[in-house]
Amino acid sequence: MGGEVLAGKVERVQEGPAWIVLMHGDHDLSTAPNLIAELEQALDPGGPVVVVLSDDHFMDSAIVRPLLTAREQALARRGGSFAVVAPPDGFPSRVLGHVRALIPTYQTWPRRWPPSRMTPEENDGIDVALASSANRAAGRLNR
Amino acid sequence: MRHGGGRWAALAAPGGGAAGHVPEIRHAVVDVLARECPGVDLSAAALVVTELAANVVTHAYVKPGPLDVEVVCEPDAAVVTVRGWGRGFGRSIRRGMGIGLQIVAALAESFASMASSRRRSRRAWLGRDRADRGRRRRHGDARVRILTAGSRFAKIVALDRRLRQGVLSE
Repeated sequence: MGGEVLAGKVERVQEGPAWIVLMHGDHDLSTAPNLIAELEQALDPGGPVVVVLSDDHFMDSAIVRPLLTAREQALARRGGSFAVVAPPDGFPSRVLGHVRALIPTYQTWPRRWPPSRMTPEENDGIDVALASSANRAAGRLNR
Repeated sequence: MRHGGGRWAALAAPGGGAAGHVPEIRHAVVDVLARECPGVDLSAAALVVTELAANVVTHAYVKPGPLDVEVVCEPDAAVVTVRGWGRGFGRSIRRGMGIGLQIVAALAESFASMASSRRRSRRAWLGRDRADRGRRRRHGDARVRILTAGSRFAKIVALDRRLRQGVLSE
C-alpha cells in the first residue's frame, strides 16, 4: 500500500446490452468523480451493468458509496440488473466485506462466473448471458 | 511512552484539488509505518488513514484549510491522528457513523473523536502483531511532512532523513 502512487483508472466496455465497468489501480476520493461519471454513462441505457474490481489495489468508502447508489438506481428499474465482481483475496473484497449486506459481491470472476453457489435471489438479475458478456469483455481487455 | 512517528500537514478543500492529496498522505503514512512500526497491518492502516483524511477533506472545510496527520508508533499500537481546524466533521456526527467511519471502527483496536473550540481530531489505534510489539528501527524519530506553503495546493516534502541528520529542524 506504500510506495508509488498508482492513480486509479476506469474503463467502460459495452457487451451486447450490458456495460462492463472495469476499475484499475488505486481508487479513493480523488478518483470517485471519474467513477461516478462512468457509472452514470453505463446506467443511462437501462441495461445490465457489471463493475469489475479485478486488481488487488486500494479502494475506500468513497468508492463504495457510488457503487451503492448505482446499484439502487439499476435495481429500481424494471428488469434492471447490477453486479460487482471482486476476487475474494483482493483488497476491494476486504472493503466490500464491511457492507456485504448492502452490496452483494461476486467473487469468482473472471476465473469462473457466475458463481454456482449464489441463489437466483442473490444474483441481482445477472444471468448467464451477461456473465458471458463480462467474460468476453475481460478477455478482450486482458489481451 | 512515545516511540516517534510522523506528522503531515496538507490543505483540505471539499471537491477541490485537495482530494488529490489523499493518496499521497496514504502512501506517506504507510511508508513510515512499514519502516518504523513493524507488525501493523498495512492494508488496514492504508484504509484507516484514507478514511480519516477523506473525512476532513469532505466535511471539515468550506474553503481550503489545513489537514494534519500524525502517526506515533507505540509498543502495542500505531496511533494515527487526523486533525482539521474547520467546521467539524460534518453530517456524520449528527447522523451517526457513515460507511467510512464504520470501516475505521471495524479495523482499529479503538477509535476516538476529540473536539475543542478550534480543533477537531479523530484518532485510531492500530494494533501490532504480538511478535513485533515494541520493535522499531533505532534511528531516531521519523518525520515526514506535507507542507502547506501558503498556497492552495500543498507541496509534499519528505524531510524525515534530513530531520534525523539534524540538517533541518521542525
